[in-house]
Amino acid sequence: MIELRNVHKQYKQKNVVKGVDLMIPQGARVGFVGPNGAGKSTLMKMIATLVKPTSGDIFVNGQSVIRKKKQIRKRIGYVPQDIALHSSISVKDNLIFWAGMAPRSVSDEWIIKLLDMVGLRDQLHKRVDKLSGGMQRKLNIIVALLHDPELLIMDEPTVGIDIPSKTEIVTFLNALGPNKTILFSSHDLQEIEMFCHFILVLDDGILRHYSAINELPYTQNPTQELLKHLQIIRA
Amino acid sequence: MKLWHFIRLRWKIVVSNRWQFLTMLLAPLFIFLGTEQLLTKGSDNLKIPVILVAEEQNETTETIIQRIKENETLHTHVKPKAEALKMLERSEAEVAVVFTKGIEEHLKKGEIKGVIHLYEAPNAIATGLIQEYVASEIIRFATNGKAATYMAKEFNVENMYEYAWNYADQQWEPKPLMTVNYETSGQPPSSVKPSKTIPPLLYGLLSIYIMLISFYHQTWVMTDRINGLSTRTGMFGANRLMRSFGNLIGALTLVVVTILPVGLYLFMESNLISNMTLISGYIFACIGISFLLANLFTGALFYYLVAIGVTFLSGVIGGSFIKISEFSVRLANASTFTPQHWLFHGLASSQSTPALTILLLTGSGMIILGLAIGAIRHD
Repeated sequence: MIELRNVHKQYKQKNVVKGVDLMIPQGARVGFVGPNGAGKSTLMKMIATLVKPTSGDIFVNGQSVIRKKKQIRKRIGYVPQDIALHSSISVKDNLIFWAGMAPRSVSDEWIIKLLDMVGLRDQLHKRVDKLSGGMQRKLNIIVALLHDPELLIMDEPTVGIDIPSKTEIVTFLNALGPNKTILFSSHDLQEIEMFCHFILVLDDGILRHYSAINELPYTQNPTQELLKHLQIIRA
Repeated sequence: MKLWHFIRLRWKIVVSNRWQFLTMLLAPLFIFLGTEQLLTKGSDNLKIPVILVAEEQNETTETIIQRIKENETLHTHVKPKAEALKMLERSEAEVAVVFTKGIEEHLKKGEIKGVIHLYEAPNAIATGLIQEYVASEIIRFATNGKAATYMAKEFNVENMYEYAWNYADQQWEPKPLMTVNYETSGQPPSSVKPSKTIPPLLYGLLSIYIMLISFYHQTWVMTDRINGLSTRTGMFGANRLMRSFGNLIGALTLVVVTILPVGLYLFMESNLISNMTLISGYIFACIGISFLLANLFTGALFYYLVAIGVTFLSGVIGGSFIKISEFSVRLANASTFTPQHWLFHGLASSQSTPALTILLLTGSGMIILGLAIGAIRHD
């Protein structure tokens, strides 16, 4: 379970996140939605222990991200917006490197299972920069899952790739099972509706809405309707 | 051990592009050898051109010509007499030395008159010096011959002439054979074998290459920050210090290996371990400087521009190309702030420890500063 208590973040003079209170249950898949600069990435980074809140606190399974950073990191898989991989070496060498870095021991069987799930097994010896954009994104996610974290935080993991690749990634994430808590930010509202149980809308650092998607009072394009209702013009 | 993963990663990234790695490995060696060849060829122009003409071919003329050829201040040509005289007319040589017919017989008897004939070019200025060199060889032969002939007559023993000639010849060692008294200033290092002198420009070029390659191998500081790799590494629990040290050791070993072919060549040619130690210290200083600058800048392109600028400027001031510090006191003072200065200072001095200490301290200081800046920055 993740709990945010009156979380603020200030960069120089600018308030990026303004007093967010939130409770995310275990195994939930939460879609982070909002215009550019709304504070989604900062909020995700704060949960991921990468950015320290200016005030307030965040608890992951009861442990504070400020005081128990190291312990929490072992339980988190973070997928950055960029392809954070060593592009000039092979997929295999990347996996060897990140598996060696991982906070928990990583079995070969688990790596093979992940590769099979995303269809990258036959690309092991290919250089990362020779892979398609979709495959690079998949590998980017696999690396975050190497230590089999309980919480997966993904900052726009499907940005810039084609629809079939997006669908494959969502299918793969669904296959990870119901026990993983997944925080997922995207500008693709359909993708959010397809994959997430909950929707979280941020605007100008303020939490405007948080509920289960199936509880929204809209039948067609519920997320889009919600954003219209909230009068949030999407970038 | 996570440190090892970073070192191995640096290597994998560089070795993954085999051609680039091979080029990095061999390019400095070829440049080094090529430049040395050019400098050696060029140095012939500074020698005195002399034409040697033998009117008869025998063991004596061959030996004399060979010994004159070994003189490092002369650039010798062996030509027929007619061609030699034409060359002199065109001022292509200072002097033509003609070994006349019957030279062997004359020298065996110890006679030196009329055995050589000297022709000089119209604008010759070094005739006296050449005369001195040639005369010393002739006198040596004549004395040997006279002594050997005497001994062979006095003691009728088999091979006495050859034995006496060689014995007399050996008495002329050590060289040089000069008619003036001279002293060598300073004490040559007694424990070191005679070594070939590596032209300073080659060390200069090597210093430039080492600095550039050090900058290149530190690009990871920026790229890892830009593409989120440092964030991800942090998420995996590896701390910044370990990441930096691992990558630094990786970069350091890569630069050392890149320089290894040239280093081995230098070691074989100059046989000086202290040179190798100083170059290692210089590599460490360059790694430190590049690490600090890589931590200061955000964009790789700007970093590369700064790298070229710093390398060129410190090379010019530090004396990689010419000893610019000799032109003014200010330049001399400025040069002490460059690692090149301390490298060359150490190479030129019999005591390299102070220079090595400064290079190692510079490297360590820069690395500590770089680490501090990296820690302040938000990756």
